[in-house]
Amino acid sequence: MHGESSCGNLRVVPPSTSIRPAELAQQIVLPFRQLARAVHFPSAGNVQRTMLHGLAPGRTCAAILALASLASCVGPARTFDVYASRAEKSAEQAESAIQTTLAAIDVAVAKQAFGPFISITIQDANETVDGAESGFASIQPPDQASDEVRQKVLPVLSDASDAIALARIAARRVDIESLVDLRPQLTDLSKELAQLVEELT
Amino acid sequence: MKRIFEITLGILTAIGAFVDVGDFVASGAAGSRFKMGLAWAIVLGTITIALFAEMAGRIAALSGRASFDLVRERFGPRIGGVNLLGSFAVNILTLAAEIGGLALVIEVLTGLNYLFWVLPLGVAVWFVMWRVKFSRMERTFGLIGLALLVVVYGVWHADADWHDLLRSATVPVVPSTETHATYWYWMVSILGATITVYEPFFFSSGAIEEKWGRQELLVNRANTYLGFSLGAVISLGLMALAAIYLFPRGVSVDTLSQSSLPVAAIVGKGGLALLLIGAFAAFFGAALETGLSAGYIVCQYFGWPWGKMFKPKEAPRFQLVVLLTLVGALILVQSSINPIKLTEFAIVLVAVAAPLTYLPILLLANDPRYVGDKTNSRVSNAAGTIVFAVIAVAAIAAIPLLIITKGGA
Repeated sequence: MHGESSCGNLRVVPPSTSIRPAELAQQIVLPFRQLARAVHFPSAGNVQRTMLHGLAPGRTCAAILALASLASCVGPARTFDVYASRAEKSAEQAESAIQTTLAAIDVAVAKQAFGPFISITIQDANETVDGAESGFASIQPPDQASDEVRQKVLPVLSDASDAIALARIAARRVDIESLVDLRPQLTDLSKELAQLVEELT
Repeated sequence: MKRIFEITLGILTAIGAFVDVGDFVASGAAGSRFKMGLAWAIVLGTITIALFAEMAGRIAALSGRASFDLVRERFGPRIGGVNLLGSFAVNILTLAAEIGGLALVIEVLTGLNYLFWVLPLGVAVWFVMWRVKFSRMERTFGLIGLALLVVVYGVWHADADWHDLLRSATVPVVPSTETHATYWYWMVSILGATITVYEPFFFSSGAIEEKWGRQELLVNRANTYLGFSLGAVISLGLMALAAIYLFPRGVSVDTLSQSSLPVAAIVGKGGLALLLIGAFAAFFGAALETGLSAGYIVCQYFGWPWGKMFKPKEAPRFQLVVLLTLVGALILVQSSINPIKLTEFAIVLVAVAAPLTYLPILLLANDPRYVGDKTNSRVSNAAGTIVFAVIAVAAIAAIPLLIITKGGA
């Protein structure tokens, strides 16, 4: 199964990598082939007739839903480039979560929003960074160079997750002072993540 | 004077009811990732929905029959059936997304998990659909939805680089952190969020509910051309706020709270309250429209009595379809699927199903048997054909883009 997605036979190319035209064309054609197979279209020329006379709507819907669900597949990376691009995407997500938390702290300090709004905003950011961390941690590094990327990225993602979790607790307690105290740590982590993204690009 | 009041009220209602959870999510996400680089997609979507809703309203006002009724008569039960299946599936997903959006609004107001609110909100939506008169229901939520205009105020007061903002709208550039595939994915999403499948059916069925005739054609045009265009300003405002406040910080929007952050930061507590009240009313109104649309299209297809013009006991199948659709949507949301992901998925599927809805309307609006001498003008036909070609291409590209970009990640 090496090199295949964990939830089907469709190869998943991460969005942040540059996709070669031939690969892109293959990615576009593949779902249609799978869909055609799923609804038993006899041939391209008969598609119209079959759709009108022999279409099983349930099977079509099931095929479309199955294809769409592939959008959320997480598969192992085959090469360093793919692994690095996943690392970059995870770091970007974590940076976005930290920046959201920083913006929420600013709004909280200026008393421009209600307590629950701040708390939910930081909670959502916490879930985002947790998802990025666990998603990246679950990908197996394909070579030694990837091991180094993993050792570099995972601790920062973990630190980001911990810092935002502390902010979440402070927001829930409406403890503005603690939120302000967390600001420098979050800013440093944001810089660190931005640097990582730049290195990985 | 009464006529002017009616037209103005219709326009205001259309503005407030234009935005739904799909617009809220897609505009914020696109603004935070591409600045105003996808503003043209909102404009294109608005032209499309305005053109086709006007046609649907005109067909209903002149023929005295709603669009879906005519689709089955004109194109036969088989094509009508495929259309019904596609539209119904998208409708139920959209209804689930609207209820999920409503629950998220309450979550950010109270701090209590959104799943806690799903069932009570479902009961509230059902109660309003069951008890409240059509015109009162439509106007109440449409007018409260005007509170969303706070985003325009927010843009006005933002400390923005206007030249850069305008440039990003007129010369769209894909940032180095994004791919062309994600750009086109979000273009399809914005189009899907703007050209909702339920809207033309709801609009034409509403025209029958309100007993429109030839004299309402002016109201129809004003509502669609003016009301929808001004409503799109709210979507553009949400995109602009995300572009001004979130893009420079590297925040990529994937929650409702992130979309609302710029208003809190720029306008303050009062602005945030207005935004959330407006969003609640707009999502609630959209939930009513999608729920009722499900009942309209099924009953119109099978020829059963439909609409709020009948007492529930006179149209029991209509009420049953509406109730079952609502139950189905509630089960979807309560299953703890992320409402924002559900919304993103629903708007992409809207883009897939849209041609099924829009082509029959374009053909019916040119059939003198239904619209008499008020068939489409050459301009309407040319514009309608061009935008239809675009949505057809978007429909073909939607699922491959969803897979390639892993849902626009």
